[in-house]
Amino acid sequence: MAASVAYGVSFLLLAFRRRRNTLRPGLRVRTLAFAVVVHACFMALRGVSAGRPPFMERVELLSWFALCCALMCLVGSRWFRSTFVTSAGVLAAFLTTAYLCLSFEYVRLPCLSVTKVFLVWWPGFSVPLAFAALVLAYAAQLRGLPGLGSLEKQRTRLPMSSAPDATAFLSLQLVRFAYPLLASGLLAFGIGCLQIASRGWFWQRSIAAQLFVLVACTIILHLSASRPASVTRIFMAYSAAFCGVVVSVLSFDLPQGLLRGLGLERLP
Amino acid sequence: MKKTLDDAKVREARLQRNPLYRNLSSMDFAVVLMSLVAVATLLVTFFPQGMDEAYYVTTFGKRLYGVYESLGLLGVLRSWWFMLLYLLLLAALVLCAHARSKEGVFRGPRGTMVYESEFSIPKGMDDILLIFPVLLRSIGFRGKRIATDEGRSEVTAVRGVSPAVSSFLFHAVAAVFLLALTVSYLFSWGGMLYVDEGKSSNLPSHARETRLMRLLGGREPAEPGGAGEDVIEVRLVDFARHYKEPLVPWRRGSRGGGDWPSDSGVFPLVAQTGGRQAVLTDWGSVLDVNWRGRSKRVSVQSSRGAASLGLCLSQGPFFEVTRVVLPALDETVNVALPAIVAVGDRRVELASSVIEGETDRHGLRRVSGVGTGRIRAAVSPAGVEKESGGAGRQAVAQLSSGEEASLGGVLVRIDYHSMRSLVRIRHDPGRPFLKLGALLVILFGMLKLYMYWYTLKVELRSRKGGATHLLLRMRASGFFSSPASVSRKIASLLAK
Repeated sequence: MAASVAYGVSFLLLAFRRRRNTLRPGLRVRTLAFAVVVHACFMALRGVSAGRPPFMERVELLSWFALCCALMCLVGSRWFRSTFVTSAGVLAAFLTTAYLCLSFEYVRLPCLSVTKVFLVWWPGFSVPLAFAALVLAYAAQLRGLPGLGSLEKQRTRLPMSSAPDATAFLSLQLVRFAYPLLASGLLAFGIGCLQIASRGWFWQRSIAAQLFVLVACTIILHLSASRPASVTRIFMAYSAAFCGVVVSVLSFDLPQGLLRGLGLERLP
Repeated sequence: MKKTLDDAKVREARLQRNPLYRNLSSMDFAVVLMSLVAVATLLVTFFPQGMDEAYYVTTFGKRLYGVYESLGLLGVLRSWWFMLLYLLLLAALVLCAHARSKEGVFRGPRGTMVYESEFSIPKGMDDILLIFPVLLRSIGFRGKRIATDEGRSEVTAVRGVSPAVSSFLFHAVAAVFLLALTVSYLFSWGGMLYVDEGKSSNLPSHARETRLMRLLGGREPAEPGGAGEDVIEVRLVDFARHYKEPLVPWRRGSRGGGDWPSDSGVFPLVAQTGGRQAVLTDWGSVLDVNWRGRSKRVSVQSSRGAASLGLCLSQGPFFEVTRVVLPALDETVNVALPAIVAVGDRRVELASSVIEGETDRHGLRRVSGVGTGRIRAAVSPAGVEKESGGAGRQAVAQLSSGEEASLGGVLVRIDYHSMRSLVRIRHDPGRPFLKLGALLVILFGMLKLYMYWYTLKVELRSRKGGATHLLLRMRASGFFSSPASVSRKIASLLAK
């Protein structure tokens, strides 16, 4: 809850900054950094108490997703050079942690040895991180839409490039960052299930949505590489990927099929 | 030699004119296929996959269930139309990679920005052209070309991992991975069997049928014990459970939720010993596998499978089974623990006993073998809750295999007590390629998307006073590319 409140304050500071920047940027950064540190500490405590990496349960996955959004905004804000994108990331972190506070149920998965297998917990680490990057990529795409470009004067590190090109490039870079993480998460889960339970991917909703997002990102990369590049199609692909991210995040859950294969039938 | 080259060129030209090849190898067709695959995965998201018919009839009704089943919506990834999409995508991937490698269009960073900067150096153009190639080589550029015109020169160079190479490698291993998935899907077979400790069990012959055989109409079942029957025999030599004392004790949460229910699943997760709590962390079997005249001993754990004799074995759930004799009913009952048996107006509760073993700072010693574990038998009047008052009316005893006790007027004898393990056996010729393909896809994907690639073009013009004006254009791709810093480095090195 402390992290959620700090994220909310940070978002308000970002969203309602004065034009002349009389509110020092240091305060915004410090607030966000405080929220990230508090959040990270609680995640670490959860992992220690559970006796396994904290990337398995619904609560843990949502929490890690929120932390990734905030961390990427904190680390990459100088590179983004866009308060809109940073605000979107912090808002995503705030909404996720607020949802966790309101619907929190104290449920703890036992520290079975299977939960410590790298191929089982790696997807829980890499996929939310990839989703955080894709949320920021979609925010950058929205930022580059005609109309929104006039809201603020954007400064980029790349001279002689227009604002829409810069945001399109930022979006593409974030998709490039997210793609191997997303692919490795899906593949690791499938190979892990094959090794542990002799059955492949258990296509519960969250996993299927991850595959959808991966295919959408593949389309984005191919459309961006083609000439002439169709801006409308690229934006539609980004929108589809974002919708897939939302569906997958909302249906984050335990690897039910894998646990069922081990005999843990009755799940809370 | 010349004739062979001409023939190759003619074949290539003919291929390029082939409309089927042109369409299948085009990027637009590949994007359309990927969009259809994305729609298919949407269906997987919204329709539960692979559940029982009873579940679907309850959820959708019988009529809608029939419609969805016929359209393949309830098993999308196994439906014929998804397989067709998949094969078309595989063909498009192979042909696309082939066409682009032939045309050399895996070139240059696309989807990139052009970075430009200009600066002047107080040196003559000839001096700069002498040192520029050396300077570029020192910071990793290669493939340098210099073109000189009157008063103007142009230097081009590249640096990093060529997108032509990385893209081709990535698409090639992606095609191998998809092919491995196809091989695994069509040619794998397997099943599961229950085996008691100290006993053997055979894999049923119908488990040996591959999906390809089923698609082609199935195969003739072999006569039991006949020459055509190829039996896989598995004997459970030893079974072990591992427990650990939790760092934070198991408890109920304040909102009525709580830690994982201790009786979740088919076996208890939490045990008590000496007043201390122990949580189940792992379990496993040691098996003797006999197939085709060869025998091998393997160990499988819940967290780790094993491979032997061309088979992949994995551990499933386990059960503690017991045969209870109730002379009052003149009955013998086979149950899996925990169990409740009604005997007249009495209720007989059977459960695993406390775990026996010494505790040390790492946890408990393993429990294994027939007869070393005891069963807790409790008899109480029927309808009595398990409260403090009710527990006082229970007659309790710890019984081993072969022991009997009279509890509350009911004679209970444990005839047989054993661990029963579920073992999954699978034969999958595509699995090694799947693992290797997955690893290579990730590695080459990271290579293609993360590694930098710079294409540099520098235009030099002489200025009055012996200075040289440089216009630097750089294209960069890859997540770790930083054209601004490379440009600054070039400028600072030239200035020195």
